[in-house]
Amino acid sequence: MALHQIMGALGDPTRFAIVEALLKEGEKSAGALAEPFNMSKPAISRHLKVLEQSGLIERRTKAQFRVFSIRAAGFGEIDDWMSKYREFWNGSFDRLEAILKKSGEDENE
Amino acid sequence: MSNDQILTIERSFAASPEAVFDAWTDPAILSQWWGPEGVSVPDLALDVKEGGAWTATMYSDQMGNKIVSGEYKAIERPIRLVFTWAWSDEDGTRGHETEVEVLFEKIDTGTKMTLNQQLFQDRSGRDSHNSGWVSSFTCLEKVLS
Repeated sequence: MALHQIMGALGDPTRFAIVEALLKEGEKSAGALAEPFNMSKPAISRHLKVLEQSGLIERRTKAQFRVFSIRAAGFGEIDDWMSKYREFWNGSFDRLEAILKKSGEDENE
Repeated sequence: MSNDQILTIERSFAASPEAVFDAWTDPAILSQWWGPEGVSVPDLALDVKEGGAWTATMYSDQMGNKIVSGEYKAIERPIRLVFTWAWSDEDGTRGHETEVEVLFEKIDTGTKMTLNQQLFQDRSGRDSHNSGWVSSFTCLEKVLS
């Protein structure tokens, strides 16, 4: 799944809250996830489906219940995004440091 | 400062806030350092004003030419610079847009610069949650480890 699709899935406030709840509190049933929201069951199911398709969460059946949990691999994309930018900026700033140092020395000459 | 900045990098430089700020807005300087080692900036156009557009072509042997562009949101020399940021695909379509905020603070040894890059360009997406990404990512680290 491409990063922008993952971001799109997370860009919705309800879905973001669902992901946060799963991150903080672990596995939950669809009913428990729906509880904080004043929303119909089909509406919550749709949100869960979008998140599942984005690869951020996964479902399994426990007794007769559907339970949802975080899919760590799905977050790998976000993690990669962050590492790439961290590398990009840190590498850039190394070069900026050299330039500022050089122009400082030139001024003092 | 809100806690929803997803990527924060701090760095100190032995130069004045004005000099560090200008390194971002003067194309002759910016093209010398933007991108890590091995990346060059053959083309750079900056319209440094609020609402002004900027475009950079970055080149490296591995990735060839890649275009990144955005719009200036705030220009407060020498304390703060805000602009949007998105890489373009091969066919010219701009990808996911993020917002970059750079803060410049005068310190005894020169300037402390802080870069915040936000994952959500859309304010409604960002403001809808209070706990923010920082806490989420602390949890995520546990999940991933």
